[in-house]
Amino acid sequence: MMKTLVRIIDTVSEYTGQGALWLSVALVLVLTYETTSRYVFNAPTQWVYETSYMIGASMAVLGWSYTHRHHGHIRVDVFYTRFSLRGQAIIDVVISLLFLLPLLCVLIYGSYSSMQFAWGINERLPESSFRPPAGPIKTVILVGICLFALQCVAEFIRSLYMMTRKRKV
Amino acid sequence: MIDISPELTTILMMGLILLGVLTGFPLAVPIGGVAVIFGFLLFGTGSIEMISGRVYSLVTNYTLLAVPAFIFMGGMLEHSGIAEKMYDALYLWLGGFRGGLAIITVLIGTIMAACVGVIAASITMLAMVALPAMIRRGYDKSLASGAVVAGGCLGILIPPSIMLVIYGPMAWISVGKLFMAAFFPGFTLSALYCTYIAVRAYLQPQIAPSIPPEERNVPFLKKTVLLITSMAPTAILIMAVLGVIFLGIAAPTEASATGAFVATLLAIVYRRFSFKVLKETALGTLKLTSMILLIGSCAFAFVGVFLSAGCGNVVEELILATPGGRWGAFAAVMFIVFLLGFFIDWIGILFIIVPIISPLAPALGFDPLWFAMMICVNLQMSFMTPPFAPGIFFLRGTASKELGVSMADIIRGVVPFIILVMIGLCLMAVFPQIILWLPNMMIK
Repeated sequence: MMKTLVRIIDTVSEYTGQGALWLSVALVLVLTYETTSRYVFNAPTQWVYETSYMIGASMAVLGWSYTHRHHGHIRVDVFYTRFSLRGQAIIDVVISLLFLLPLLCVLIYGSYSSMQFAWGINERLPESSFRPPAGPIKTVILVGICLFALQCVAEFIRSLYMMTRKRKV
Repeated sequence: MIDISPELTTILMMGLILLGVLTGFPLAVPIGGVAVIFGFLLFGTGSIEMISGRVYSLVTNYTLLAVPAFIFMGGMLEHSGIAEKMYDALYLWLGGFRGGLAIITVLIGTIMAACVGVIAASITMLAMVALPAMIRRGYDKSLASGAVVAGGCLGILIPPSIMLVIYGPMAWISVGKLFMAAFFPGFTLSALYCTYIAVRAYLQPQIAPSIPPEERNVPFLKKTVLLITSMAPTAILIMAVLGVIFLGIAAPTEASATGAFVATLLAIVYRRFSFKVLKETALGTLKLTSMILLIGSCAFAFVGVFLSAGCGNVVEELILATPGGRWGAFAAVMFIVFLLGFFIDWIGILFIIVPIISPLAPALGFDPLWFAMMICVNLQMSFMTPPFAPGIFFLRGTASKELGVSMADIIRGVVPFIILVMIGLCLMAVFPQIILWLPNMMIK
């Protein structure tokens, strides 16, 4: 049961990452378009400023789960690598409960209420006259955080399994 | 909501972070966890909105978009094979000097540094191209690996640089100005490195032999053409990115994306471009950006709680009370950053320490730009100081096992370069114009 759950979560993160990676290409293209049209054709766009940071934020946040899945979130492993696999698992379990759990709860709750607020009053992004709605990007951020939380659950199960059964899931 | 004095809060928050980070759990989590716990203890449920608001404002920061764009650009350049071409050309010119190959390594590191904003790309390229060439020629392993690590680490200092892109918004300094300020410090270090190698090779010829003339017997004209054709595309790229910033045409974010676009075109011209390369570059960009921005948002939340709790004043008072006047206080800051560099990743240091210490520069009567650059050069050392040294880590990861370079070789090779950075720092303290001249020339 646990194995299936972990496998499903891994797959979800994998697909999210494979999809989100194209956002970096989109970001480069959008910003290049703006630079060219402003400085070469002297015709600045209205929409690029907000669009670009929405793309950038979506990419970063949606990438969290994929990066976690592939152990891309940097660890200060000066001491960590000296422990046995089981020792590492115990550290992971303890820190997950102590720091990760409260962090995820606050991030999920906070970004949910911010998203609800944004849709509720039809909030607009204030930086330029483009004024796109704030709802979509806040929704993407919430989704990204939830997917990250999901991958954290998978990693937690892995560590717990290693800690109790002394082998990998 | 409990009542703890700001002094105690400062000690507890900093201590817990240090402890949490050293457990080896992904760096961002203990930082964010401490922020959440203390936010709740000090400000109750009101802290939730503050923390998620700060996370939102960090991930949607426009200036920080230069981070993925510069990473993308570096990835593309890595695939375009320009490092090999430059190496082959410079080899013919400088191979005849004792220590020439090590000097080429530092020079290519410097040129690559002006193209990429991360060290992974430079060190990987140097470790694959320059290191085997040096060791096969009988170079001392520690000198060779020291040159690769030191030369590659210049990538994080010489603009474009991810470090400066992050430093700017954290300290409310323009990234464009930071870029300009970083040029001469970077070149100063590069010159120090080359001088050191030349002197050592002169004193101990056996550790860095010159290449026999028959192996580099190429007509002058051909040598020149090779040099120009290998350097020209790089020069164009550097101009496209840094020139526009210097001339005030485009902001760093726009310049970075244009640079990424031009780097892609270069890869196409060199026939190294493929769908696979594009996907690999994009995936690398995604992973690195996500990692940096997770640490960034957690640290940004932490700093919010830390400063709201009045701990910023505690740190300020503490540092201002250091004996020895403003230079004593400055030395204390530098020493703390240096010490943290041994154990903590630079991204964490940057996002946490910079917002807390930046107000100190005006309070101590230092130029903020000069102060920022001294911190950056100092942080550049953290890439080379073991046990937590990304520069060494990347070299170990890419250097082929057959070369037989051991950890001890690398560390022995890196130590002299760390001392050289310290000498460089002293030079910049005595002659602040090294840092401040170019930004003052910049078109406003």
